[in-house]
Amino acid sequence: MASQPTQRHVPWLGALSALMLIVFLTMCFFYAPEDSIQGQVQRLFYPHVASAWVAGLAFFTVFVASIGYLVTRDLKWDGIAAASAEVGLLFTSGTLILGMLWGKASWGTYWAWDPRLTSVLVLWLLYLAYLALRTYVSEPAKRARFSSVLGIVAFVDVPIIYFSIKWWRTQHPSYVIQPGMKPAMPAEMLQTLLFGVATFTVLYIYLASQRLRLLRYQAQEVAR
Amino acid sequence: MSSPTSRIVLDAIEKDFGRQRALRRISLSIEQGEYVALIGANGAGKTTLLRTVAGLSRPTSGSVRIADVDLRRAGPGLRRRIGFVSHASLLYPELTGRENLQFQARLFGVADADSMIAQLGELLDLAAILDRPAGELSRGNLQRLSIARALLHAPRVLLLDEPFSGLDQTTASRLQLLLQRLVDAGHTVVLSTHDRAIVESGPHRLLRLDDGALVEDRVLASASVDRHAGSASPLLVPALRMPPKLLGATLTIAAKDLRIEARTRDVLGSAGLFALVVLITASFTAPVGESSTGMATGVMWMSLLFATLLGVGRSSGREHAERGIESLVLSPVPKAAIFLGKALASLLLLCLVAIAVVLLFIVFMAGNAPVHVLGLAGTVLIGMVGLVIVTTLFAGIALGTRLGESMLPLLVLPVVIPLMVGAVELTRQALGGQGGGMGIWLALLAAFDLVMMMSAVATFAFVIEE
Repeated sequence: MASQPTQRHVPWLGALSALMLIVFLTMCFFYAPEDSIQGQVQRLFYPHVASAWVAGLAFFTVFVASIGYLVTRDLKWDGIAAASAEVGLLFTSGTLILGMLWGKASWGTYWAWDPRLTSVLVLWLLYLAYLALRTYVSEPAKRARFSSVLGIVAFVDVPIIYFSIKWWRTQHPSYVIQPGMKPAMPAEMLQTLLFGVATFTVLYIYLASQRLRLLRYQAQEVAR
Repeated sequence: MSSPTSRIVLDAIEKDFGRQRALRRISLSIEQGEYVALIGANGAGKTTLLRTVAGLSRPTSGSVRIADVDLRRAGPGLRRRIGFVSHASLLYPELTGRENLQFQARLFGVADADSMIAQLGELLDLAAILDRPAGELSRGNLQRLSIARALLHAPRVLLLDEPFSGLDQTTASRLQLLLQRLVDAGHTVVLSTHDRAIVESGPHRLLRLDDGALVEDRVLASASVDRHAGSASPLLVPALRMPPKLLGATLTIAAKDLRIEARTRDVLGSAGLFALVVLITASFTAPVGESSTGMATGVMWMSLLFATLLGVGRSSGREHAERGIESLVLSPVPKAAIFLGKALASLLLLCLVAIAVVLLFIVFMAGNAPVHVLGLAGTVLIGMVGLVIVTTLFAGIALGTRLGESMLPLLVLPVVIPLMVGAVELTRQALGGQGGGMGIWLALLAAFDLVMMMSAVATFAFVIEE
């Protein structure tokens, strides 16, 4: 019989996520200064960018776990990929919604068929297809094989998104942080952004580990 | 002690299909020249066991070794030692018996294919059916042809899954005699059957499976095991050369697909007609002229995209009709060649569709816009390569899901959106006569194609395994 999934780390990780979220929201509204051009609405920037970061991290995890499964054939890797894809899709949805709200205030429209926006939408569709594929294959090993192939191919889209902002004319803001360059924002803004990225990363780990536990329980239930 | 050249060793083999355990820790050894009957009720695991030994089904745990080589690391040499007769014929219904056997001979590197086909024709009484399409043959005739396919490269290990089903008494007796002669010549034969009469009339050893477990393994009292197995002169001696490598195998598989298409014309017919209908219908609704070029190019690429889905879907569906794809997996050719061969044939066919669509598009929808011909040709080629690569990879996955072919658009469309955006933009520029700004887009599409090609070649083997 498979071992019971560990629960030791989950409560304190959840508590840490909640605490960091409270601190992050406080920093967003009270610590980071108001943007002189965009005003209060610019505060959406912090969770928007942090969500996008975590989505990228989650899909990278799907990619690595997919390779891990194909190499080892251990279903543990497939579970990690599935949990990461679900949480990544959640954060991609957050990125899109926050971006649309910010876009309405800044550009006057919720959506523009800008390459960057379109590419994130494509990413969202890709991982939606990934999760749909999983529901249509019932045999675990076959589901893991097929999902791993899609998990690898889908991640190919991520660099296209990253470079699209350089290759194509875009309404989307340029990078706020680039290697070797001084960030084009006050220190308080940068600290809020970095803390937001850390917060959402911890939240991702918490949510993905919870989902993974649930998947393992389901697998054990099926095996009985 | 027998030579290890075709000894089969199973070590604690288990195979799960979801919550169902099909094989339960099966360990056994089959020596060269043994004639083994595998019996058990329906669902006992006979087919799964034979498919696992053939290398078609990967065990969940445990290992299969043939000639002291782990099957997971089987090279072309080991693949050529195995012949497998399945429930399905593993033949292409559109090709004649002779064409099917010639195709298999090329995959296995059988140099004297015509001579081998003639020998097998005599042994299995195939003369009347060799030049008829496999799809028109009766169950019994198809079974004989399938056995000829498995014997064509004179494998040292012959695995047969209920080979006598569908055969009349005369043919069954003839096959029994043939199997005995193969065993006398040193071949290892393992067959599954429900027929006690067959078990009692030849096999040296009986294996009985029950609910995935090996519950009986005994030497048959009625059988006199020939301790001089292998002393008889070889029954089949094909002239073998090296099996084709990546390029040769790719071309062989593509040629097979094109030959089938020449006979059926279903990819060209369905995909071409679909694309043309979309284009012609759209030409009545879209205004002609420079201002509408962007939208019109979108229509053109949508028609090509759905034509590709249809065409590649048909081509892949054909591989699954009589499980022809399994004959490719069993062959000693690189797995990447299966993907590349399928993709190459689809690309050639769909390029014909694309040429017709683009010409009609220019006539019906592009108005008098100047055309950058080289840019347009390059765009269509690079775009179609990308579409075909992605669709060929995912067709294998889609056919393995509960939704079947209907799953294909769901998987392909999100992946090819960046390609479609780039192709539409490039086509728009080409139709404006602007060749100058096309470089970055062409590079992007080429990069997309390259990355997808590498991903597909690296992962296709996982798509087609069981």
